[in-house]
Amino acid sequence: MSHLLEVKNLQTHFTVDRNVVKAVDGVSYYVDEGEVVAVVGESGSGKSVTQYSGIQLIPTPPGKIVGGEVLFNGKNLLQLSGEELRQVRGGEIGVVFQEPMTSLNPVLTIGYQIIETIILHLKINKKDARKHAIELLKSVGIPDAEERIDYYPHQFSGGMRQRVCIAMARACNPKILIADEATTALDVTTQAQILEMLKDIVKETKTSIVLVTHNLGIVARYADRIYVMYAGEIVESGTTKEIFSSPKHPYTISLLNAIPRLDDPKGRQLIPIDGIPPSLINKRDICAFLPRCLHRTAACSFKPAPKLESVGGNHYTACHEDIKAEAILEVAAARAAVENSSTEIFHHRQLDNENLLEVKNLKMYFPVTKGIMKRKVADVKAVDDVSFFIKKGETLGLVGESGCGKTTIIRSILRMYEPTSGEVIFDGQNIAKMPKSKLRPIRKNISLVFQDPFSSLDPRQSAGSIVGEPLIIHQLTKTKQEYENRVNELFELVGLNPAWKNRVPHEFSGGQRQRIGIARALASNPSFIVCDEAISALDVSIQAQIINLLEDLQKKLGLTYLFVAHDLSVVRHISDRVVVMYLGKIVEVADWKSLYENPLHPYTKGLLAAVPIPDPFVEETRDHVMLEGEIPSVMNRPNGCAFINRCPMATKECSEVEPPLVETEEGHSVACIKVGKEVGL
Amino acid sequence: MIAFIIRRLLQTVIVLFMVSLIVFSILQVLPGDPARTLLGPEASPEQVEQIREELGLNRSLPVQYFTWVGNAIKGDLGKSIAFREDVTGIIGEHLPKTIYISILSMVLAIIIGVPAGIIAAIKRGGKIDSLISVIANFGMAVPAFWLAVLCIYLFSLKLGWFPVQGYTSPFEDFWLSTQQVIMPVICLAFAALASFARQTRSAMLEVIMQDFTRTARSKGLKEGTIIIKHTLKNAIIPVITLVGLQVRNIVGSTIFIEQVFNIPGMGRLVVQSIFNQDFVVVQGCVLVIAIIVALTNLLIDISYGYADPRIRIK
Amino acid sequence: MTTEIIASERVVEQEVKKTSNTLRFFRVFLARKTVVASLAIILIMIICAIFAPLIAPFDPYKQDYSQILSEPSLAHPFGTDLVGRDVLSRIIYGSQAALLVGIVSVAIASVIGIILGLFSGYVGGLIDAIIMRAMDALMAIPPIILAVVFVAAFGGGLTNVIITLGLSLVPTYARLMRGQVLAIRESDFIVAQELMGSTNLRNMIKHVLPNCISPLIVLITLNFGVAILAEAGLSFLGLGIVPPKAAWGSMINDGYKYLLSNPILSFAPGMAVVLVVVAFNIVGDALRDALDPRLKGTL
Repeated sequence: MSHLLEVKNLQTHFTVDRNVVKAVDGVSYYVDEGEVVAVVGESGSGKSVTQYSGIQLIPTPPGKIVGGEVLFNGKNLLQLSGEELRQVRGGEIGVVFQEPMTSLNPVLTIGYQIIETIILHLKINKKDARKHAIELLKSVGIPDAEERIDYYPHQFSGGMRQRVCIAMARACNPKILIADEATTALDVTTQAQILEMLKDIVKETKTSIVLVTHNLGIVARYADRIYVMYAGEIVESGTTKEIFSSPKHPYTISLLNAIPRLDDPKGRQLIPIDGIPPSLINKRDICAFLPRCLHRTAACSFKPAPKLESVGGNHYTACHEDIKAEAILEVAAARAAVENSSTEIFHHRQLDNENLLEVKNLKMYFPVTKGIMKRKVADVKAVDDVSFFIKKGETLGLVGESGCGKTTIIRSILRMYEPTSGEVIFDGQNIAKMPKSKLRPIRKNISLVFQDPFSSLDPRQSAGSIVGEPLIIHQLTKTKQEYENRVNELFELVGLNPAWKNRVPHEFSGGQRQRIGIARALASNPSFIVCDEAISALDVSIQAQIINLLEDLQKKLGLTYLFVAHDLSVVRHISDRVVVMYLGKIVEVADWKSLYENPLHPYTKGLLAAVPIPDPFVEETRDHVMLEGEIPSVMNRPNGCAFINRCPMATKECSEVEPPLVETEEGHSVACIKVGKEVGL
Repeated sequence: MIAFIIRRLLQTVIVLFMVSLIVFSILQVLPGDPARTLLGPEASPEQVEQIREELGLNRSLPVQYFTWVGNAIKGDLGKSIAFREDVTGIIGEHLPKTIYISILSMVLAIIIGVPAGIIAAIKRGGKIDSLISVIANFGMAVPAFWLAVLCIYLFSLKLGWFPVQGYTSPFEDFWLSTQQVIMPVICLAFAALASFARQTRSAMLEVIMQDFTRTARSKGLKEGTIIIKHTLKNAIIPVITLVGLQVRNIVGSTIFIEQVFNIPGMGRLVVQSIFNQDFVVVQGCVLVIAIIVALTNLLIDISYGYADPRIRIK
Repeated sequence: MTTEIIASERVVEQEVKKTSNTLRFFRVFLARKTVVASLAIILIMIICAIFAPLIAPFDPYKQDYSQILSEPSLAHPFGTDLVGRDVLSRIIYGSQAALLVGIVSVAIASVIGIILGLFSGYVGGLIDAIIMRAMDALMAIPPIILAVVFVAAFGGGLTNVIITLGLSLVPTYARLMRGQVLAIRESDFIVAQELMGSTNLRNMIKHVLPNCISPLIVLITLNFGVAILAEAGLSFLGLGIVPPKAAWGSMINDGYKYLLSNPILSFAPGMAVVLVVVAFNIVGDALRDALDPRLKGTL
């Protein structure tokens, strides 16, 4: 039987500084009509380049397709003329790119950008094309499409722009829609909405979707079949259930063991994949995963790179070893542990009862100015009357969608902003209004670990002086020798070789840079560390390394963490208690177990429902009830309960009172009048 | 958008205030006593003192400054010592000539430079690109006055195509005027033309690398459509800002070109007045030039805001 | 835990990467023959300026009335001027003024501009507004007119030309620097410094400044050409280097009077200006590509 799209032995090379990078190295796969195929891999695995090669969207030079065939409906796309290829692009194969913020032309209206595609491929007149474009915008859930068709991209939120991109990609009813990390830059609820929409499109129109992603949860929830890519090659392929229930390739197994899940047992130790993906320059004919493989044997190093071989039906893997036994063992063990998780102890660590940080009625308002004289007309209540505490040695998770005020809270606590009012009591002292000179010595007790391992390290300083900077600023070491010793000690503490002190940041990988950032945060011996999305910029296989490091350090040094993240699975894994925020206010706070197993606030419930679990069997049993709409701008905060226009439970009275944060049971508070009623308050 | 325009307007006012301060302070350090220069060496100290009194030179600096600014706003820039006339009148006579050749040069620079940059970007790495790059490189390095000398030698003295120098108003004798103005305009425009070509080329290449160009390709648009509808509209925005810089350079270069081609415009007036020690005229000229440059920049900023919907529509 | 594995991870590859970065710089920088040729021109100019007395065939000031306005010959490749001075020797000596003006005025402009831009961008607020409006005001006056007026006010001569050109170039540096600082200021690593309680001065000098070096080097290289052009312009108007000192601009003007009979008198010094300025521009562009490909088109 012939497939809709069949790629055979595709090879794409890039020439960078005279070196050949084999970005796609002999990849074969197929896509049938009406199926969702996932291509999974980390950054640099070649998963996007593979997709772009087929429709020749890679920049040439430096890129070059050196071999293979891409058969679409029987035609080899690589041999088509420019004109024929253009008809396929946009007409029969549509692409949705990762970055909705940059993928639309900023100086043209979205209507223009959609209509030009329609006119090009469907050959209809402008008026009909406009009508069709409005229909499309409606179908992807853009409200007031008739009016908004004449808006420019910057007038939409990220989620809305991605919807526009989808409308554009499917404007001419393509047979295949390639979604390249299309939801990665979006919030978890928006991500779920968009993926559900794509799923509906498949159902209605028999369009096939190629889902390019690193997120195994998404794959488990939506894909029919999976191709796992590593270092420019496919290492395993099969149906979603086959891959998740009996992964055969060590890389796939390691990935599944490295990621935290929403249904994990609490004490589960993540098993990171050590090392980093290989460089694709001057690739040798040997198993690319070898240096990181837990199942490697001495023999592997002498064999040429393994080829994909069937391990039963349509399930293929490229590995010299038959590691069936262990694989099943580990995955099964994990699942068994989940079932037993109800018997787990409440707190997994003994905690002090003393508060290290207490935030009381914190408000951070920004003035809205208008006109030439910058007259203040209103306040943006970015953080509005927020109170919480963190006990010594505890990890408090802080979650919420972008725009909920997480970042503002951190910045107010760290005094990067001057809080409008309220108290921030750190170790018994109120630092909210403390003069900067008095605050300076206290700064050494509080550190921040940043999200971006690239921009958070001064590119012109050596790793050693970056880590040593706090020692100099706070004059913590007396002699040169003492300074060097301390820096060495810090390097070792975070698992870096002290011999690398003289290197500059760009000579390190992302994970290593994050370690440098953590070493710097530890240098002044702080008791409190704020982690601002500290692992979200890292690849999945590296994330586990850093999570484990943070947990180890907490045990060793008795640190207290405020862990801010949007990834609810990670927050669940690492936190003792969790705070959920929405539009500048706390909507729910509880210990991790109550919050994740018995969420009370409809927003928390919606958030959790939106997180996909990397397990197709679990996903089958879950209700996919999606939160509707998007978080409104803080400027247009609704009256009463801020969540009112997205809440499935909302009634008229919700718009009348702002719900207070009420403790429903010990340590579990929620701000919802409906929940309050249920428990009889 | 209106708030944006008003804010830029206010900034321009502040800038002009600072320009007036700079221009005024320069006059203060200029050598020689204006009163003495006016009267000549034979005048008696009493006469000098009387003129000083009349000119207000005995008053305190702030008073002098505000008097000068106040008069300038009313259109009175003082009296020329060499011409024995109102400076405003003299400038009014010289300014139109400079504006005429400057506008022609700017238009020429844009209509040749921008398309050249676009072609170079499209044919990146090809022969045409190299040729345009070489011309642009020389364009930015050739002194305008030397180019003028070369032109006069070749086109006037050797080929006899154009008159060596002189200026006639286009309203008086259009044909002669055009013949006379061709070489000065080309010489003035050359460096600006080179800048436009370079800036347009790099702006185009920058935009071609953006994600949205890839999106446009993924929709199956033709390369030509992508360049005209998608790339150009974005690339033109940084080029607009360059116009402001080039206004300044073209007006500056008139100082040489008017000298070489003997055109009685502002540039030659400045140089002449310096040699005449006629600093009231210099002061007036610099102020007027600065106002023109500042106002064009204001206009350019507004059109910049208009070209970019991210500024136009909040 | 995993310390050993990470510690040994790709040590060899890291070493390779380090050397290849320096290599990459030189490979990109010297990729084109024009760049090598430009470097050679600049080198020749520097040698001419330093060793002028050794290189020049004649004394540039010696007037030889038997050789007035002579045609180019073996003895005088570019002929002689109105008072019989050898034009080639004067061009060689002219490189001294050009080079000195180029280096010193750019040094003045960059130091003042960098300091102003650094403070303006880092401190912000009222200081920023005042400095930047002052720069706008300076930019509103075309630099050559500003220079002409400055020279008129303070008198001509080498020192004043240098100071004048230096001041008129200040706004370019202040603006570039401010833009860079504003971008870098937002970087997390500066936030990190502030959270450690580091002082503004330390942040500016140790962390902001070193990160602005690349575009500054490019601008400085390009500005050598700009300053040399401006000096030639001033001397052409008779407002620059005072005769009889040799300057390319005044030589062009002197020769202009004999354009029909002795065009070489104007052409030769003009060629010298163009060659040197083109060379600086090409090197500046090549530096930009080599130092940071992202800078393409930002200057």
